Amino acid sequence: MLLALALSASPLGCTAEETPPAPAPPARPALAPRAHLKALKGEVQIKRATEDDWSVAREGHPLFENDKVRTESGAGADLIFASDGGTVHLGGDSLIGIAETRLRPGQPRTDLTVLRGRIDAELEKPATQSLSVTTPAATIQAGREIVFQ
Amino acid sequence: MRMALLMLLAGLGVAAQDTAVVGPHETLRQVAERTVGDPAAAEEIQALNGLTTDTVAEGTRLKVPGQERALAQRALETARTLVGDAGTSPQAEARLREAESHFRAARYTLASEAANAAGRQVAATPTPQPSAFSVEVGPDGGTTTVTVKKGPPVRVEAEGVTQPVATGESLSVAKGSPPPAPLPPLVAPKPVLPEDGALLKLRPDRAGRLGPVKLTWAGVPGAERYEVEVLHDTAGTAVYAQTVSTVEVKLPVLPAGRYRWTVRALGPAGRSEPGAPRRFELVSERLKLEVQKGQWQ
Repeated sequence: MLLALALSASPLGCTAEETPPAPAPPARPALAPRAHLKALKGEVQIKRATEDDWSVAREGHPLFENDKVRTESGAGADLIFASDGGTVHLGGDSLIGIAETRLRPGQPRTDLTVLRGRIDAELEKPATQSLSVTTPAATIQAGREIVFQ
Repeated sequence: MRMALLMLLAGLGVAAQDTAVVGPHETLRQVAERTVGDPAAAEEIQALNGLTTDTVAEGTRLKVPGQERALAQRALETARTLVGDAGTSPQAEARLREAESHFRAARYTLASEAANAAGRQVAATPTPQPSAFSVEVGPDGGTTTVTVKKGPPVRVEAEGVTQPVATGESLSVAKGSPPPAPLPPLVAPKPVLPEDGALLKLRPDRAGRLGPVKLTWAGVPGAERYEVEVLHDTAGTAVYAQTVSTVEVKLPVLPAGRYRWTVRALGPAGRSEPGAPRRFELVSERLKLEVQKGQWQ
């Protein structure tokens, strides 16, 4: 009886070594950076979404959603967006955040949140590029119009 | 006679090349792959032969796409690239869709014509200028000012109202309010005094500094304040920056040297471009010693 149970429990003709491994849990996709920092000038700091403290920003630092960047007076930095190469120059004494990629029905897409200071944005090919900036008072959209339906 | 024979042979050759017999257990996709080199052409073969199903009996002789398919495909690929690069050209996109539809229905000549028309449409559409704009958030985030420097209009949305802002225009949105109509841009203030390149000889103070120098400029309609910046002409470092509500400013005493200054206008329409930079040089005035003739001489 016990033998019969044991036989039924193990696949016939299959040793322990040959037993197919249990399927691995699907790998969590690595987060893709939404932008990179370039042309840093003066004191520029970055705060990761997952961290509480500000740290000194470095040339080429990747920026992920919900990361924040701030500049001291007289400082500046360029943000190059990974999606379509749109460029944003961050002026001195400014604070910006990289927006979430999650889209909400009927809401325009947002790339960047400006909380303080000034940005100068440039789109080389506005017909194929787009940039959406949200501030406490308004949402500014440039280039190609993209609205999540 | 010889010419006619050649033409006939050529015609026969094309006819032989443009038909295929379905082999044993062969599907339409396999026929397409064998004859055209692309299984996706099965849909076209179906259209070309007026078939209602993609199942065909063994031994059936089918018309298959010939050289004109290759030509149409090349035209389509070119049109796809052109339309994709150019971005939004609704007419060109419509012509491309038309070309794709003709192609799937095996109407290759019409597909080529529509694809070429899409390409011509892209060429006729002017390429939009790069877009450049600034967004400035005021203290406490209460006001957002958007200024468009070049390119297509930028859309500003607040409280469910969207307002386009064209090149040269500026718009300020207060938190909780819809965007108003954009204001015309502020023009750059024109500096008045000192004259460009002026050499100012001044008596130094005890520390050897010179001044004060008064800078003046012409007022700008719509401006509420002016932003003045003075820099060392050679080093480019800022020595003075101030925002004033008048059309003049008196600089603090400065060391001898060459300086340049600019002024911008600020107002509800945003921040103007800086006026043309002016330069001046500060030099220490030498004391002229005059000895009067006296009796001792």
